[in-house]
Amino acid sequence: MSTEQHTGSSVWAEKALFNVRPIWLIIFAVLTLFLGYHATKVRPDASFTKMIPTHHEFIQNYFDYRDDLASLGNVVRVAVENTQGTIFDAEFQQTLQQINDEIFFIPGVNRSGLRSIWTPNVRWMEVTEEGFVGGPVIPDNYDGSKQSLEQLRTNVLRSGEVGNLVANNFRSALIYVPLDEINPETGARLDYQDFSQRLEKLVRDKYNSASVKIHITGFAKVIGDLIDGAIQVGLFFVLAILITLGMLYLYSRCWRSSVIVLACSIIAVIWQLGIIELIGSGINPYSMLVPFLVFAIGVSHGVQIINAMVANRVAGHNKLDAAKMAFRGLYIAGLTALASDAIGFTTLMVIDIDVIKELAIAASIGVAVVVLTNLMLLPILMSYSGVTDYAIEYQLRTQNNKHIVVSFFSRFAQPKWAYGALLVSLLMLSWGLVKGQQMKIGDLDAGAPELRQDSRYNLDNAFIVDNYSSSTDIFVVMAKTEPQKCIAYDNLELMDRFSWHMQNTAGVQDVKSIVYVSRMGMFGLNEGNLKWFSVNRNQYVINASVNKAPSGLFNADCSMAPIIIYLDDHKAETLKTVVAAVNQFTADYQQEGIEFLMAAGNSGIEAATNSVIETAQYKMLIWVYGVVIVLCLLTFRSLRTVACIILPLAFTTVMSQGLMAVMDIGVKVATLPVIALGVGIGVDYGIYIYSRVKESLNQGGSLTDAYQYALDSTGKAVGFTGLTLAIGVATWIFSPIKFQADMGILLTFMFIWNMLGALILIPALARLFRVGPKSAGRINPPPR
Amino acid sequence: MRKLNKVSYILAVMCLGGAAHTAVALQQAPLTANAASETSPQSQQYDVIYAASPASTLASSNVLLDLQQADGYRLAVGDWGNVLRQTEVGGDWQKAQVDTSVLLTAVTSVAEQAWAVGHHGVIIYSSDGGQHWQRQLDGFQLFDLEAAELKQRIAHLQSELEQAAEDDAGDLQFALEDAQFLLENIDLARQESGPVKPLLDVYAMDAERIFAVGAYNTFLYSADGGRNWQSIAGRLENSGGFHLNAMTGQGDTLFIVGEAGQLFRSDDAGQTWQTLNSPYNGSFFGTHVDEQGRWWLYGLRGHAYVSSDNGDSFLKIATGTDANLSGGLSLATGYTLLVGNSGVMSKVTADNSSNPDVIEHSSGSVLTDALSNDEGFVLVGRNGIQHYRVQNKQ
Repeated sequence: MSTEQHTGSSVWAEKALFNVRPIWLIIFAVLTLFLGYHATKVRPDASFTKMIPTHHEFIQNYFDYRDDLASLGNVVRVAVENTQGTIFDAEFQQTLQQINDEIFFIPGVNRSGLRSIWTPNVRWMEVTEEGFVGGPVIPDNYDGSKQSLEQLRTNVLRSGEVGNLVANNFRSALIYVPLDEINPETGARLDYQDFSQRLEKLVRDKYNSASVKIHITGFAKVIGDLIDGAIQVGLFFVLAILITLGMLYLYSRCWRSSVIVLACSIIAVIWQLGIIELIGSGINPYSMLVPFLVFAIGVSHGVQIINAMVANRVAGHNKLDAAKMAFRGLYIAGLTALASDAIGFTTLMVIDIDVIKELAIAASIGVAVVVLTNLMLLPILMSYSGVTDYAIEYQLRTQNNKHIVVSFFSRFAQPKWAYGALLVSLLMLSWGLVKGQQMKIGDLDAGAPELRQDSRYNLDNAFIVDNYSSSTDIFVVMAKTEPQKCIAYDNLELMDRFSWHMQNTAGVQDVKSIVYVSRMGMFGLNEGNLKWFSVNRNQYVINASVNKAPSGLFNADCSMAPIIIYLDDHKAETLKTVVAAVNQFTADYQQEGIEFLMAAGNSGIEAATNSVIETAQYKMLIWVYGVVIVLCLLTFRSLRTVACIILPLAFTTVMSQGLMAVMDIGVKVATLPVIALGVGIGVDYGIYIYSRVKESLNQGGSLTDAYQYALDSTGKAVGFTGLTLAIGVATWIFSPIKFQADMGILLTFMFIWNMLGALILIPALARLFRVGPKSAGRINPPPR
Repeated sequence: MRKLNKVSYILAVMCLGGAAHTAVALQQAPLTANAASETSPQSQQYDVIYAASPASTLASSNVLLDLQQADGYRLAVGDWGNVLRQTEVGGDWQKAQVDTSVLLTAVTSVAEQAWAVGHHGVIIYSSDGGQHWQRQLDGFQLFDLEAAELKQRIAHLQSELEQAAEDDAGDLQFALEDAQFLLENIDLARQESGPVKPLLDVYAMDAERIFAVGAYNTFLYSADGGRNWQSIAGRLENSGGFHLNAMTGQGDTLFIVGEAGQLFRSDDAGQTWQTLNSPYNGSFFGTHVDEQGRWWLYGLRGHAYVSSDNGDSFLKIATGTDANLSGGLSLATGYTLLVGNSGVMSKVTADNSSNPDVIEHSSGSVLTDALSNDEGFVLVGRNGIQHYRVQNKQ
């Protein structure tokens, strides 16, 4: 790219833009109306399948049996706690019954599957000389009297529901609420948000009191809380706009241009949302980040334009010429920076998880839109409005005093400061490298990792885990057999061995499957004699033993039986151990007619996601750095230059990995894209600064002078950009959704660190690599 | 509707699992030579009879069914071919090497020799105080033993039938058909399913004379410490094929208790047996003879009886529970402890002289046997080895 071409294309573009300004304005207005209309139709989209690596072997296996496994997952648990005593209390039982009835009528509830001590399907059973006897847990003649409460206690004890529908400490009772994903009457899909809100209103709000406390958990509740949380993020956007407006004014001292920059950036967001809706995509809790990024990127590029505009006005040009010159000066640098952003985001497409792909597409579209709104529309608007006289006065008044930022950072081109900075960086780098080794894959916290640990959901979850014998981390292995053979003796016996193998694996709490039912059935059929707790070879006996187990534990044509493995937690290490144990078993026992397929259940899916993320992590880093290096090489044609720009970025990447380890943020669907975003946007600073440094060096300036020049012309803008970007995403730190907060923390850190890295390390590295003329002392002020 | 059942059943299953499973962090046990041999050659059909008991650190907290106080050591047997061995009272329970993975139901010992029985007709033997165990018998061999006995009986009945008077012919014909039917069943089982009958108890008169009893009137005897076994099912009058649940004895007097109140006694070291009048028509799961020579038997729904005259008469014991009782232990203090389902431990006396003292073990899980300990009792059952401390052990 020679200077000739720059000028040539700039002039051409400049003419096309400024000669027909009204036409452009009309086109922009029409497009904004059109896309704005579509933007209003964008819907939050929390599709489960998009958050998982659909091409992973585990997920493919899961999809094969998805319908068969449906009843395992979609359940809400409502625990009703008596804070004043035990559940054997007339008043409490009345409340429990009312809540039970209330839930029964909520749309989406599988009514016949509803279970609590107040539903008729919960019974106690006993073996007598004549066979089994039993009855409903609530005595037929229940009247709340002391006697009937005592009878209730007896029935509860012999029903075996302690730890299940009744807490181990008898202070709370549970209502088990299975949901129909598809309403059997209307065929409509379950509206999670609506369900979740009804549950809140009809149960928690209505019955929570001094003596009764409600705890609710389940996938439907998580989704409901996620969508509610996402709506709050809308408020953050407003907050980000207000803060940015204030900063813009502080920077430019011009209301007019501040508002125009803001407006152009908001238009960029509207376009981006409109286009997303047009291509049939939605906005998910991850890609919700994109409008913030687009807005911040828009503002940061807009600032460069205003910066130039004011400078040109000060130099005495009129509004139109000032705008034209601003456009001319920033056209190439802006385009290069935005192109590297967009391509950097596109590298996220290598990760085989739909939400990340959607995020990549949305962010690339957003950046492309910023080119139109903030490199084209903004200069046109500015050519009409100009900047206020006050802004020009302010600039005149301050341009001769060295800005504190400029005078501070300019030192880093001097050898003493440069080598000092490099030494400190080296120390920090080694810290980052050491700490980064401890960075974990996957989610690290208990409960619903999407939500904060102290969120009500996770507190409720902790309550239920503490008081009932159930783990919420479930890994399902599917035992696949020939049709009608899922409970054949040979298959059951191997499934039994597998269950024991898994039971003996670190991190496994319990294993349940049809084999367990058969063993319990044998125990029951033989008068409750534990000596029969074994799988029998006789197929008729086996069939009898699982007589009462309909196909939840095997599918309709009896070709698959899920083996449900309850885990201590869903940490990546635990999941890895479990996967390795399954693989070891399948390698050791290859028996014709049966296969053990991984994996379903929330932990099974997480294991697949982790494995994809672990490999994608490096793939993505290679891609994003590869692309950025190639772009910089094309622009600057010098390996030393590329090193000066890339090394600070790599430094930030290493430091952010150290930060993730220290802050217990795992590499997961939410945080993986952040590294690519950080690098993609971070390279902007380097490009802006280095292009100025090079300009000056080409004029024959020393490195110190060249860096001084770069800081004078763009240092303030770079500093401002870093802060704007950081503030845009920093609001996310307050999101009720844990992974959004994690994204916020990391992006804020990366944006600020990238800015500091660019301002400090680029000159220092340039000094180290001896960039610039040999005779460093020569003074040759660059032309303005 | 099906969906309902799925969900509710899963819940039911989970609750049947009983008390909270504590999270046990354990290291994946390395494959021992033993464990490796069980899987070679690869892709061979897995059979629980021939697969060695897998290495496990959960053995002591998983199903264990029977305890044996041997000379200088204790044994506990249970699921997955697990045999645990304790050499010091209160010491660790070490997992022994066993060449089967079936559910072991009972164990007995004479000095350093020990025998254990289990499902799929398996009998295992140890000559080193329970450290290493080998199979002496499995269900496939059991078919041969039973077939041999039946063929012998058939031949005997046929020759009797030829010489019999007309009056006796009907009965003999019936017995013959019965034996032939049983033989056919054995052939059928051998071809179709394999061994389905669990052995439920083992009793050693001395180091040579060993008995094993099991489901559907399975009754085995060895006169040479288990090197050779024979089926002696025909010695019992049990045409209904009721399960023989437990066996005990003193001297040459032997007792078998079984399903539906079945009781048998032999006064000649097992040569001939007589059916006793049972005080109860429900099943007995456990039996023992105490120091005073009293015969205890206990079973379904908290029923327990004691006989001071070898089963000619019985005294019903008030146990204070209606849970199944399957294990018992008489103490030097005169008390007898009976244990059973729902963690029930009932302390009773042979003459009902004091009200039963019923304690529910905190685990609430099925208990199957007990031994006395320094501090109280060692218990086994659904949750493996558990302890019960007695404040003032009387």
